[in-house]
Amino acid sequence: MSEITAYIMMFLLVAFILEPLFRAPRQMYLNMPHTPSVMNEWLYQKRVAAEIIGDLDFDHQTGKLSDSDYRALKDSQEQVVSELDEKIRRNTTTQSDEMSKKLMADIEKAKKQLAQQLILVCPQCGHRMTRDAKFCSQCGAKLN
Amino acid sequence: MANLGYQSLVIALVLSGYALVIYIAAGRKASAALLASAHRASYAVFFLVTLASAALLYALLSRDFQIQYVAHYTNRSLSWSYTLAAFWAGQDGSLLLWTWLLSIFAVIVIAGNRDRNPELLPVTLAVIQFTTFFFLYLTAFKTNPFVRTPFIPQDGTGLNPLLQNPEMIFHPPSLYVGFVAFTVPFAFAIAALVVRRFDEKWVKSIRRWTLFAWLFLTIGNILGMQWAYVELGWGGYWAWDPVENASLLPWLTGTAFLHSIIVQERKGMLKSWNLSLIVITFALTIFGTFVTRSGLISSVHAFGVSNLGPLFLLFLGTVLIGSFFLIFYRRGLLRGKNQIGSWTSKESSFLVNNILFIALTIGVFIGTIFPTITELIRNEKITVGTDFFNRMAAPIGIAIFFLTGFCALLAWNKTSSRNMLRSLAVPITLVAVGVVLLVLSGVRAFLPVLALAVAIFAISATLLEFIRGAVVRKKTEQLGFFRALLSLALKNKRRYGGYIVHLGVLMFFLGIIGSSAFSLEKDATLKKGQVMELGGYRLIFEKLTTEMQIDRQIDKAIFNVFRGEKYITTLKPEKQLYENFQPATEVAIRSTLKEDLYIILASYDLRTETATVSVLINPLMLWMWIGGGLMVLGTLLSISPQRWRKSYPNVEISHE
Repeated sequence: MSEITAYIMMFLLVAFILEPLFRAPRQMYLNMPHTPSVMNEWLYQKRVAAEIIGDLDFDHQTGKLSDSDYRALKDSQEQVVSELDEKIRRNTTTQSDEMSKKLMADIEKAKKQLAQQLILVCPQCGHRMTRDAKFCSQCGAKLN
Repeated sequence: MANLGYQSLVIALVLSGYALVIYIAAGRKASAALLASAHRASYAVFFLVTLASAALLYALLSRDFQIQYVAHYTNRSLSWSYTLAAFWAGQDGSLLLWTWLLSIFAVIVIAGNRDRNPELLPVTLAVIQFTTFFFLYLTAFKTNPFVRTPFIPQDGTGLNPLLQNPEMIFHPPSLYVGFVAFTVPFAFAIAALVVRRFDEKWVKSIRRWTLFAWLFLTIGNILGMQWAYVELGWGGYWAWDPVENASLLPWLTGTAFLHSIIVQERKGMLKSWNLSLIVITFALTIFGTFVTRSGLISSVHAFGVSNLGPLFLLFLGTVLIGSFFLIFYRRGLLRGKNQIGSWTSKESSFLVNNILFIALTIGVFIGTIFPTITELIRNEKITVGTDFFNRMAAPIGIAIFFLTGFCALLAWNKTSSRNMLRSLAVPITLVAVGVVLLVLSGVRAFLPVLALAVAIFAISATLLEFIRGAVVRKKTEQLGFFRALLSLALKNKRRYGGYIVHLGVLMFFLGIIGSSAFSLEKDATLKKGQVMELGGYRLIFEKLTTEMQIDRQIDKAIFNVFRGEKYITTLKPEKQLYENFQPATEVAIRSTLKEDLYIILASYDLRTETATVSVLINPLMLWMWIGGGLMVLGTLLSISPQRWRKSYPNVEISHE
């Protein structure tokens, strides 16, 4: 009896582990389009710079930094932040430029494809359809 | 039950191997199906190892003496709580516990990083499963806890009475949690090297897991010291025993890592250094288990000679060579851009901290393996005594404790020199007053005075940091002082969690100074009614009593303690003799914030009613345990989630 239970258990275990292999085998686990890592890196650096500025403020308030040191260090950090901002902005615009170009090209291509397929015209109402249509999708007239 | 347990382990071994291979394949092909299957194998490994652990626990609780392990570590009179402790009292059970913890961490890593670190996940888990595979191989084929006895004994041998102490229920498992948890940051480090991603989320994950491991290692070590202090009955808490050192070593490198990772976050420097630190920390945890099990180094903790040495060395070698090859291979990616700007900055104090911690690690490591080295070279074991360790650790330790306080006075990036002098004023004044008082009260030895001066300096500097922060906050937020203090700590948990840990460390330091430099000891053989005096206490030996319990005989010496003419308390140091003729000593302790009065019953004669006792006065000992508590508290604060500060309006805020 216990042997049978053991075999059933084993079977269930193996089935449990192998089951995912029979589902959608080509799917990637990184299917989400990730922001390019250099962008993430800049955003991260920016947050770190903000953190550093926060600490500068605090160290100044608690009297560890003299006014002049505080000013100089803060300026240089703010410089870092604005440089990062600039990089991020430029990267985002180039990205969206490229993306819109690609999108327009895709639309054109799709239009062309569609145009090639659209060769049937309904004799009754003049509606245009794809080659394989049996009935007019507009008026329902039977097509040849 | 034994069959079920053993078979679970063997199947788990096979599945962990499967998971390892499939994780690598999933990583190479970025295949969701493979990854899902490997995850399920990880779950199955967790399930099976849990089953095996439950089987062992059941066998222990039901006193299934057919199983050798049960017969060896329990007997019929053992209470259920110590039966639980018997699970990890021996090598076989403790390696099973190790494996079980690792399988739990694998599941936690899967659950916690699916969305956060998808690219890192396959490699991270492959490393974890690689380690799991190794430990499962040991538990299944080398240290099987389910081995049967040739005949069923009437009763078991029972748990060593030294291990029958409440600390022993918590000390080993918390150390194990700490040791095993270091596998996770190591796995993340290897994954980042393979996938070439060292971003913010990675740093956060690795830091949090390191803090978690560090926390448990800290708790485990402190409980171990308490156990040694209360149970071993020699008046101390740390003997530089190889196994104690083995648990200290990863703690030291882990501490160094927790500091230097901050430099990486802020400056983008030290990447390969940090990776090396985490690799070394992991290797040291494996070294620790190796030390206790190889029979290479003799120790009170060792589990006796076994044949695991070569296997551990093989695993250790694979880990070290593989990891450092990867770090070398990726060196181009790991190059830092920045430099430390000023030497009077927090960042630079972290660098000094790292140098000191590594120096201490090397010192302790060499002292620990010295007997082995001399045996290899000269064919004789030369052990270095505690004296070597104390001489080596004292100056480095004092420097570290100094830095613990000094860093609070430093600002990030740079500290203006005039402001630094101003913030030094209060601590220096306190140190001057303290030193004068000490010298006037007759303390002239250099090292104790220096150590106390450092302690006063560091504690006052750290407290000053809290006060200054609270004052600023009081002004800006219009709060009362204590509300301001609280909101300060909650607003930057990482920073103030760290400072609370520092305060804890410094109180711990007070305990070390008190007990090592100012301890008093006196041995005496007393007849009934006789009096002995030490450090202002007057101890009157009233009588000896004998008490029979189900599994042991307990003999107590009753002392009434007076301070001058005033009665304070009654202390009852004990000797216990177990039915299996194992003796145990129970010391009697009276703790106050000022000092511990500590009595050990060395020997006695019931016939003539005489008792030989050692009496110790250990000043400031209680601060050690208070400090330990603060360290835990601070780490918990530091580990709890913190959002990015919104102090700079131009920056988008990401929520964790």
